[in-house]
Order: sequence, then C-alpha cells, then structure tokens
Amino acid sequence: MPDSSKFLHPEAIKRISRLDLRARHIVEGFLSGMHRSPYFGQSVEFRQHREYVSGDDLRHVDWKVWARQDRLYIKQFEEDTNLRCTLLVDVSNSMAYGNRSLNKYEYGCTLAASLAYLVLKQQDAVGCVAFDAKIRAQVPIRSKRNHLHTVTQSLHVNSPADKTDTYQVLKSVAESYPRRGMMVLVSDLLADYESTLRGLKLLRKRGHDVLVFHVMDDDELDFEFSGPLRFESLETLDALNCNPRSLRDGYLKALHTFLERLRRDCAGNTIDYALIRTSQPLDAALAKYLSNRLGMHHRN
Amino acid sequence: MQFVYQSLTWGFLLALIPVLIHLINMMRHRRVRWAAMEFLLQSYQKHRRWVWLKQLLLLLARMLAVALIVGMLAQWVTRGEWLDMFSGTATHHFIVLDDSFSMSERVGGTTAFDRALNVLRQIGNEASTARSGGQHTITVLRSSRVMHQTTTATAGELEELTDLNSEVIDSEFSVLWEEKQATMDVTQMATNPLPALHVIETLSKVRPDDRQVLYLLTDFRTGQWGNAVEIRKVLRQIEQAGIAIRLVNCGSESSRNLAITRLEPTRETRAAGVPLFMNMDVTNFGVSEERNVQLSIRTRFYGSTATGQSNPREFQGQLEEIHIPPLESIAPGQTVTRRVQVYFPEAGQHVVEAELSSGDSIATDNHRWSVVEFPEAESVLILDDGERRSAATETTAMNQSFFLQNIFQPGRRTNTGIRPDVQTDQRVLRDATPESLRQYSAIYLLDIEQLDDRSISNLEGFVRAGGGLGIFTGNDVDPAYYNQRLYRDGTGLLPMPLLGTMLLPPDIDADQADVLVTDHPVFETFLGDRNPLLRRVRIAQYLRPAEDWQLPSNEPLRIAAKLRNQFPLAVEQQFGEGRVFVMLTTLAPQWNNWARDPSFVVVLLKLQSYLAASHRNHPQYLVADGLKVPVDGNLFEEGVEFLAPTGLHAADRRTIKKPVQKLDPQGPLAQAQLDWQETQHMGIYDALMTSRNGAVSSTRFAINVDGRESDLTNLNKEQVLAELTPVKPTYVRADRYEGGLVESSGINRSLMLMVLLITLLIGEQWLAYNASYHPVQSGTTA
Repeated sequence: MPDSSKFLHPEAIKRISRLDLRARHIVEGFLSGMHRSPYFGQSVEFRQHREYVSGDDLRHVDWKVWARQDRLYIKQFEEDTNLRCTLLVDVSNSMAYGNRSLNKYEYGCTLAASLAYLVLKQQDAVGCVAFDAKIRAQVPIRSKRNHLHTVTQSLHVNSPADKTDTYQVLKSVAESYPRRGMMVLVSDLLADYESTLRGLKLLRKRGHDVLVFHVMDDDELDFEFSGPLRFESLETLDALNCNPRSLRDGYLKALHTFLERLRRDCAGNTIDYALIRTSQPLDAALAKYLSNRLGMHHRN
Repeated sequence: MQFVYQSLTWGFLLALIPVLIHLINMMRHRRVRWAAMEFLLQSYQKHRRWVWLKQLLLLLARMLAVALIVGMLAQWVTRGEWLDMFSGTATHHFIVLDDSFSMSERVGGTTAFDRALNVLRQIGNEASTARSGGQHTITVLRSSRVMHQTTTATAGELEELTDLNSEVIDSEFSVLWEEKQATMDVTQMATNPLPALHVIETLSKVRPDDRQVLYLLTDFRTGQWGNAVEIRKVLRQIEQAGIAIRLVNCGSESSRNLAITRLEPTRETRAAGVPLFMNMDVTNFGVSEERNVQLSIRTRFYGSTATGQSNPREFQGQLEEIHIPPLESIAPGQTVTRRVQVYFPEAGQHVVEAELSSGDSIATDNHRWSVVEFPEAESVLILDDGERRSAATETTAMNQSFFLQNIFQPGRRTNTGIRPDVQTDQRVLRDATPESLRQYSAIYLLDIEQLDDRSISNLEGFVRAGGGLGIFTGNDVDPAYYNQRLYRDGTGLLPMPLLGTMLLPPDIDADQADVLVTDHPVFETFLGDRNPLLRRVRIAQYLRPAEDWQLPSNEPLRIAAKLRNQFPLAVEQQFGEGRVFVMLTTLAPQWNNWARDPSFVVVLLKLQSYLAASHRNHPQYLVADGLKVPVDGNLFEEGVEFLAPTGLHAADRRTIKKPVQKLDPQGPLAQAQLDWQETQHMGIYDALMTSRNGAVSSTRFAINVDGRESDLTNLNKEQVLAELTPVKPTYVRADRYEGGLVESSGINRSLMLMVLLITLLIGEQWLAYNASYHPVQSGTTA
C-alpha cells in the first residue's frame, strides 16, 4: 500500500478538520490501495450486478449472465450485520500529550472514527464509549450509515478528567454491552496497570473479542530530550527538575518493562495488542483491525 | 605554587564562572507537560545519586578546566617542593657573564653589560625570595677571567677564577653583590664563551646532587654564535648532565657602531726623513649610513731631538696633530680606507694614533695605535762584478750598478731612505754570515755570470729569512749555469729555467708598447691610463724561459710584466719568507733603453719597496695576547720594566717589572714577557731595558682591540635556538626581562597542564553529554 500510506500519514490527515470526513478519507484511501474487496458477499440476499473490473474475485462472476450476454458481471449481495464493534476511547488528560501533527488524543479519536467508518462500511454495527475517570460519552451500537456522525460527536469531550480506575469503566461497558462483540480499546494505558488488566480480562470473560490500540507518542517511547527540563505531570501534581539524558536509560528500562508485561498479559488473555506511535500512518492500525476481523471469522 | 607570570593568577577567579552558569541554568528549566510521569519518577528514584554526582563532577571539571587554562597561561612551575622538604635539595646558579668589549654597546644610556648586571641582580633577588628549590647558591664567572684557561685545571684552581664562588643567596646577597658589581667593568677583550662553559662543566661536577642552572648573559654576536659548533657541543654536555640552561640576550637589536679596524704603514720604503703613508680603515658596523665622520690622527715622535729624552719613563713622545678632512659617507657594512702621510725626521720607534670622533654605541674601538719603526736608512747590497771581470778579460763592460745607485741615492738633497752598498766581488756573499746579510733589506745581482755554491747558499738563507733578491740579467748570464745552480728543477731561487738570449724585433707600426704590465705592485702605477709612460721603453733583447716551461698555477710565482710577444719580462717568486724578482733584460741600457726613461726610477723604487716589505715587519698585537720582548741576556740582566697603559690617556700608565728569562743557557737569547692579564688594556706599551752601563733603551709596542668584536650583528632568538639545536635552552631578552628565570629553573608544568586539560575536556564532554547538556543531532526536543 505504498500509495495510500502517503495519504494516511498523520501530517496529511491533520489537514482534514472534521473527524467524520477524516475517517472517510482514511478508510477510502486505505481500501483503494487494496485490489480485492473480500468483505462483500458475506450475505445471501442479492443486491445488484456490477460490471467486472480487473482484480475482482472470479468466484463472484455471474456465469449465467456471461452465458447469456457474453459479458462479465459480478454479483453483489446485501450483507448481514454480523459484527458488533464497540470503540472504547481514552480521552483522559494524559492523552493530551504530543508535539507532533497529532497528539495522542487526536490520533486516538481519528483512529476510532476511521474504525467506525470501516465497520459501518462493512455493514457491521459500531458503538462508542469515550472515557476518562468515568464514561464521558456513550453511543449505542448501530449499523446505519449516518451513525458515524453520532460516533464522532461523542468523541468531543470538554475538560477531560484524570484517569483513576479503568476497571470500573470497563466493567460498566461490559454491563452496558452484554452481547458478544468486538471491544476496541484506544488508550495510552497510563493508568493503574492492574486495574486496566482486570477490566480487559473482564471483557474477555464476557466473550468479547478485545483489541487494544496502545497509542504512544515518540517522545514517550524514545525520550530524546536534552537540556535542563521541568517535567510536570498531566494527570497528577508531580513535577521533576532534571537533565533528561541522565534519566533516559532508567526511563526506557521502566517503560520497556511495562510494555513487555502488557504484551505478555494481553497474549496470555487472548487480547490483541498493538503499540501505535502517533507518528505512524493510520493504516497500520486499520490493518491490525482487519486481521483481527478475519481472525474472528475463523474463530466463528 | 609558583608562576612565571604571577599577575595572571587573578585569572583563577574565572573558575567561579561555571558555578554561576550552573546556577543560572538551574533557574532556566524549560517546562514540559508530561504524561508518562510514572516511568520518569521511577528512573529518578533509582539514579538520583548518580545524577547528582555527575552534575557535581561536571561542575568541578569545568572549574578545573578554567583553572588549568589560567595555570598554563601563567606558566606554573614546580620544583618538587614536597620532595625538597624531605631531601633538602639545594639549587645552584652558575652565571657566565660576557665582559668582552662588545658588551660596552651603549643604547639609551645603559650598556649591554649594565643590562647583564641588572639581570644578574634580579636573579639574585628572585632566588633570595624563592620559596622553593631549597637553599640557593650562586657562582659568577666573567668570560674574560678564563679566556686563556687550560682544560687541565682542577675544579679548585678554577674556583679561584670566579668572582663569586658558591655564595649563599640570602637577604644579604644584594649588599654583597653591590660591592662586587662595583669592581666589575667591561674589558677590552674579545672573549669567547667557550672556555667559561668548559669551566662551568667542570665546576658542576663538584655538586652533582644539587639542582643546577646555567645562565649565559651575553650579546650573541654573529661572529661567535654564527657557527657555534663547539659551543653547542659543550652546552649539550651540560644539558645532558641535568643542568638547566638559560640564555639571556643583553645586546640590542640594532645600534650604530663605527670602528677603526686597521692602522698600518704602507709597503713603501721606511726610513728616517722619508715621508710614509699610513693606511687607516674605518668600518661602519651599523645598519645606517654614517656621514661626516670626524677622524683625528696624531703622531708621537721619540727622536733624540725631542724633549724629555732624558727620562723615558715620563716622556710620552712629541705630539703632533695631523688634520685630515672628515669622511663624507660610509655605507652600512662598508670599510673606507684613508691614506695619511706621516713624517719623522729621525730614526726610532714612533707612534701613530688614530681616533674616531663618533657618538656611536661602542667607544673602545674608536681608537687605534701603531708603532712604526723607522731605521736611519734601508741598506741594500748591489753586486756588480762586470767591471772587475772586464778588467780581468780586458773587455769593456757597462757599469750597471751606476744606474741603480743613482736611483737609490740621487743626491744629498733627495732622500729615498735607501743606502746602497755596491760590491764588485762575489766574496762579499761567499764570506757573509746570516747576521751580516741581515743588515740589508734587499740584494741585487746585476748581470752576474756565475755564483759559487756558498754564495748561493747564503743568498737562499737570506731570502728564506725574509730578504728580497733582485736579479737583472744580461750578456754575462749563462743560462745553463743558472738553470743548474739557481733554478735546480724549481727548488732554487730562480723562478723558471732559462733558454737563451732572444731578440725582440721592433714594432714597425709602434702601436703596441714593448712592456705590458700587470697589477703587480711594482708595475701597478702604470696600469690603465698611465700606461703611456712606458710606451717609450723599447726592449731589444731578453732572456727567454725554456720552451717546456709553463707558468705553474699553484706556486707562489707571478709574472709581473710581459713583452709585446707575450714572453715574460719580469717574474716574481715567493721564496721562504722573502721574495725573488727576476728581470729578464739588462738593468743598464744594453738590451733596452729603459734606464733612460723616467719610468725606470719609479719601477726601481717600487721594486725596492716591494722586495724589502717582508724585511720591514710590522707586528700586530691584540689585547690580552700577552707580550714577549726578546732581550740580549748578556747586556740586560736586571730585568725589563714595562710601562703599560691603564686608560686612554697617554699619561695613564703603570709600571710592571718583569725578570729576564734565558732561552738559551749558553747564549745571549733571553726574553721578558707580560701575560694576558697584564695586556688587557689597549695602547702603547714600552719595554725599558737598562744595560750594565746604565743606558736605558726602549722597545715600543702597540696593542689594539680585536676588530671582529666591533661587529654588533647578533642573532635573534630563532637563530640562536636553531644554532644550538638539539640543546633546548630557555631564551629571554635582558631588556624585556621581568623575572621568572629562577622559578622557571624548576620544571615548567605547562605541557603537563595541557595534557591534563585535554583529558579533562574529554571527560567533561562525556559528562556533559550524559548530563544532557548537548543538543541531540536528530530526534526531538521538548
């Protein structure tokens, strides 16, 4: 997907201000780079014929029409809504960090909107929960095309609060969405680790497929600071005067320990985990989603 | 802790600047709103101490770096003070003081010697207040004191020659030095530092455990230091013995100096009543042109008619001033020769003095003396046996000596100073002794047919001892005999073998002169435009050299004049100390008409002056060379009384009595001598000898300074150091000396400081990088 990735880069996306348009741009761009559309034709209800174009799967060619008219047509069907996807988007203060094109919050929201558009485009149903210390906005699961706007509106949260107990949030989500589906968590996971893990385990226990997009800024992952700095916490009152290079090794060690533990625990609980840099194009996250979606079919 | 430049030590306060910068940086933290605070705090908790330690080390490193830079600029020197405290090592300062007369160069009211004394006093003061190096002692040695010192002298003997020997430098040293300094002055000698360095090398072995420093206070004249192979060798040995070397240049970079570098009589005949020319050279050793140089010439006449003859101890000669015009211009490096005519009516040793009235930097070389010995007349022996032989053979022969005698003694009113002794019998030569021949300044053989072996032997002895021999040929000369006895395959008196008599056909056009002269002193008067004077001379017959004879290129043989046909006419040969001059034609107008030409007189007088030149010796004596006076031991047994000058004025003299030393126990040969220390002043020295009958006779000598020392061209620092490579001395200029030599006699730690500084800066960079003070090349900054 070399061509599409150019349009999916955060710097290009930042120029589109409306989130729904941004999501549409991303997803269409993402899909146009794929020569095959395997996600149509999962239903039995015929929808329309379409002239064959290069790249279409030959399995979907209507051979009867060909026999009669000597022209190739593809049969398209109305698909059933066979997936209920819930986007859990962290909008807490810690997500506000970022000095690049998109901060973590913007990146997470864009990612969530893109996923919502993709889900809706595939005739699946999507819902959304924006949370910080508590659930700040909740959108029920729908599969209507105009549902995207509702989802994107829910992501605009004023004066976000500090995150305290992720478990309580995920617990309420699990109770709000009793039917099994896909839970996509978009967060920097900078909260109490045990609480977060417990919440994710709970979702798995309720039968949800859980996909975690761990959004981190490059600064947080690489810590390439220099010069005397005063670090002030976004969520607590902690502050620290230091020369960052002298603390870099220790910081990276602690971070990698955290990430390694997270990966291990996610893998242990059959939770798909993806670490996303805010400097990366969004197609990586979408591809991760789609591979997970296919995996669901296999599992189903 | 000592520094060469103490004033720069205030710079150590700059070491506080890193602290200030650090404090300012602490107040200038940039704020970053940060999410992943948990991991940062974890790291901080874990590395807090190490982080603080690195910050502290970085601060200290920066402060130390500033201190090291200041230490390097101020030139920190250390002499192992802690080691000194335990070992009690002493420091000994050897000071070699150049007191040659070039050190009297006066610029801006002070002489180079004054500057040297000033530096020496400063060294004493520094050493007396030095806090390091243990006890300081000093040895001062003037280079003139050891100028004639032999290398076999022991250290004890050499210590006797020093001005200060291992004197302890304490608070009373300055008083001691002031007293000593008052007795020191520049000498009139041209000393070389080499003997003094040899002495220091010997003396340094007496105290091998001490730290030793050699200071050489001199003016680095090009004449002495331009090719200082020996000096470099000795300094290298001194350096290898662990002695630090300090060179102090006391000379000035440019100054003006004029000097009289020569005052001597010309080669002309010297006799009482005959005017004599003196040649005087004035050299400009400065860097700028000198104009209107005033010269004064004085003669001192010591004849019997002069007053005061009765008391030779007080008589300073009859003084006469000769006025000469000033020298218009002397370019830098140029030597101008001025001829001055002097006249003394009586025989004796008379004095000519020259003085330069110039405000140049060195006054010593503005005076010069010359003692010229005037005999009553110069005796010459003329051997002409023509008449005697013609009488014996009843033939007619021309009296050749007549012409020579007429020239040498033209009449009573004209005095040539030459007294001819005409002899017609060869026995005068055969029976002569060396002493009897010594009275003649030259011997002339006029057309002598043959000489017996004894006469030839006596003649050879006479010429070899410095006499002149003139040979005129003629009809009687037997070439075969001359070749066999006088030429003797080139070992005899005759310069070349003879073939026989030849005729020179007359020149029909008469365009060319028969005699072609060269620049030989006898004929140089007729060179160039004056050649027409010889044009009327016609040579009809001559003796031709042997056919196989060619003029040797490497022998002291010279053709003085040629014939029109390029055959030699006059040939000169150096023989021993004397000269032989052969004229290959007759003296009398037999083979030529020369004797009837006025140019003949000039040529013959010139020939006499030339042949007798080596007989007229003019010994040159230099200051501190010593003086040896030959004495007839049989006549003068009482010893010799020398009157030696003590100043420039003729009356400033002192008396030195010296015994007569017999050189030959059996014979009369004896001598009296003054050593080098007793001839340290230039001027006129009189040796008075009283015979047994009470008569006082005097022998006079002129002692002058060495003109080479007048050349003030000196080497600069780079040239001196290059000349002495691989020796690594410290070099300073006396006029810019501000102290520090004594302390720098310790080990200069600048190199060590630089290595430390580089190491420290590398460490500082590493710490600074770690402490996050360097911007990252790529990536992000908050």
